[in-house]
Amino acid sequence: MKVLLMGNPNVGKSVVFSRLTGTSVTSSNYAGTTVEYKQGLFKHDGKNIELIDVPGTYTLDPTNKAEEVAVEMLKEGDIVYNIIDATNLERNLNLTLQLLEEDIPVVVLLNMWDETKHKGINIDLEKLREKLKVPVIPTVATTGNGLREALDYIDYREIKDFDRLTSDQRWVEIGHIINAVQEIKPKHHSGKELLEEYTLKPWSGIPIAAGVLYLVFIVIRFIGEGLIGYIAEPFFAGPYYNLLMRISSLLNEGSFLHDLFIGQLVNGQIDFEQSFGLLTTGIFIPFAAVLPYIVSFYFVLSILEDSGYLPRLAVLVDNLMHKVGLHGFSIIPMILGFGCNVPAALAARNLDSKREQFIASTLMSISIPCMAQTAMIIGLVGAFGGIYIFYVFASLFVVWIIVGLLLNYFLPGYSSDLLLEIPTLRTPVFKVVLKKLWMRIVNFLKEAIPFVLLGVLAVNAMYALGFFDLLTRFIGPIFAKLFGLPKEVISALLMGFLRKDLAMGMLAPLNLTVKQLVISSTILTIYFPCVATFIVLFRELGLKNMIKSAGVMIITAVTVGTILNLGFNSIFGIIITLFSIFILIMILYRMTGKKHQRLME
Amino acid sequence: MKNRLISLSHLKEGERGIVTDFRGGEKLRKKLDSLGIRKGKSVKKISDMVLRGPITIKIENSSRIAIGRGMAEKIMVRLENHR
Repeated sequence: MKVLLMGNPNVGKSVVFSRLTGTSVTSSNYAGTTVEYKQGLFKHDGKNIELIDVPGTYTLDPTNKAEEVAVEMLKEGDIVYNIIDATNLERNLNLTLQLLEEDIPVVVLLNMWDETKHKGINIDLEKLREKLKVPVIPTVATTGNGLREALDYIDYREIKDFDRLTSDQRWVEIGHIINAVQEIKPKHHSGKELLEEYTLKPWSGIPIAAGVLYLVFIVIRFIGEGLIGYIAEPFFAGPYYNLLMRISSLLNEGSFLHDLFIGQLVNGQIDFEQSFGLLTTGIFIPFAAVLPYIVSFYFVLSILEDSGYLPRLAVLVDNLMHKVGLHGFSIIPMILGFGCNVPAALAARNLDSKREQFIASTLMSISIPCMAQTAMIIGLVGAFGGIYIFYVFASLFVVWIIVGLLLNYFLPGYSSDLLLEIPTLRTPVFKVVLKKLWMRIVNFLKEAIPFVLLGVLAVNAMYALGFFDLLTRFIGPIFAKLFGLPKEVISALLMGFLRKDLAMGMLAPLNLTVKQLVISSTILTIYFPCVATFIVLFRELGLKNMIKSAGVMIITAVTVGTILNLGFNSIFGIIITLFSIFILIMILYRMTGKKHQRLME
Repeated sequence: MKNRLISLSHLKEGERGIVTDFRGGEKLRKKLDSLGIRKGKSVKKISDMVLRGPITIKIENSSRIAIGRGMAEKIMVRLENHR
């Protein structure tokens, strides 16, 4: 039996979904589209029930891709559980009435029932049932209240006869219903409401956003390092190491299989960061170095999502994002990129247009270092002082703006205007956060790990074939001149095409000056994402756009490397360089502004 | 002065207006309609992001909606008296 959960966005649909399902939940794309939905299985009264969390929709007369999918899914369901926000009855009833006109049984869950009292809203349930002619159950999804009663109606199969109305007729009808069932006593602004509005106003919202993001990164680091220090490393240094040493002695050092699975021994020992075998480095990096940060990152992100804060962030950065051809919500792939570029490249597909997807993927790949990379930058460059970490990130930010402005100017089209409901702030439900975390980790393992392993395999093959030596010999001297880096760094940079964190590791024993380290970290971030992201980009963008994107990356890396090397030599040079960068940004800013105006008319 | 139509983007923070007209196509009207912004609705401007960023409004006593500047300029409202 297929049960559809349908409703407007932000009404608590996902919470209901998490409450009703167990661990057998999956998140997938609707056939032929980029729209994601969640699916879960559970048993009720001995029957197998398939619960589908349909993408949030305001109307069955679709205005976007997610709503089109919702309409399609409606055809496949046996019953609809229409979840509506009791504190916003009028707008929610618009979808309810449309659902009632369809040929499918509908049960209405009047969610957030507890909040109506705080807001001075009084709803006459009996009258509402009478008007809608279907079961209406008050629920509080966050505590699970009312969900058991809701399940009692799972075999409800009555379809009531409702005339098809035009949009205007429907609003009139809703007006009648509202007048009959709802009473609102005006209330004064509560403290929470004030806070909600302060997060949206520029002068208070921007400092709050800075504080929230700072806290987010502190917590991510804290949890990530905790997981590495107390779980991952003890496991890898202990039982796993012993197992591998046994395999190593079985395979004989130097044999083909040993090279492939274990790699090179360092002083007769396995070194997880330098051995480069599939089972050593190939397993260690994704599971011990990256996964703990991914877990921690997704945990914090889920909390942020469920608290209703993200749309506020989108509003705050919308203007900046528009300048680079995106809009507020593209902040999400950008933030995701700081965790791992792979899910970020996947998230970019949810943006409005191919153009936005291209810009977001390219900018993210160029300027956003993933968690693994950031950890290496902090370790390597930070050893000389925090200010150098700032130099790297400041360079990346400037690059992000300039490349974004250029892409926005030269790519045809422009980004659509933001139109977004801002949900109320709420305390996330722990169980829901954990479930989301679980689904994301499973997806990450499925989508990213194979690519990482493929990457290590590819590196091994290319090393063995002498491909890297060849490249180093040919382009090494040119780049060495432009970037002011010794030749050895170039092979590390080439290595970075496949594995950035490892490439950073290769820089460590080279005794570089801090300036050289800043330059190489910056270039390493910019010029290509790791092979896993690369493959995902290829799949998402297609060959042609992937080549375009890669072209932008290479040109940017060479330009930035050269400027950082030659432009920051003397005080005089630094002033000239910074000044020219400033002028360039101003010019581009005006040019894109004019283009936007031209297209709007 | 009281009955003059102004666009949503010209409303000041904290001011209320009644939605009276849309200077845009059917697609725009439909999109706004599904979010509860339609003629006759009273909206209050909550915030106005710096540098021509999006504006945020509250519809009657329910939902808050953020609207890009370009779109907001096409929504015409009649200023309501302060209460």
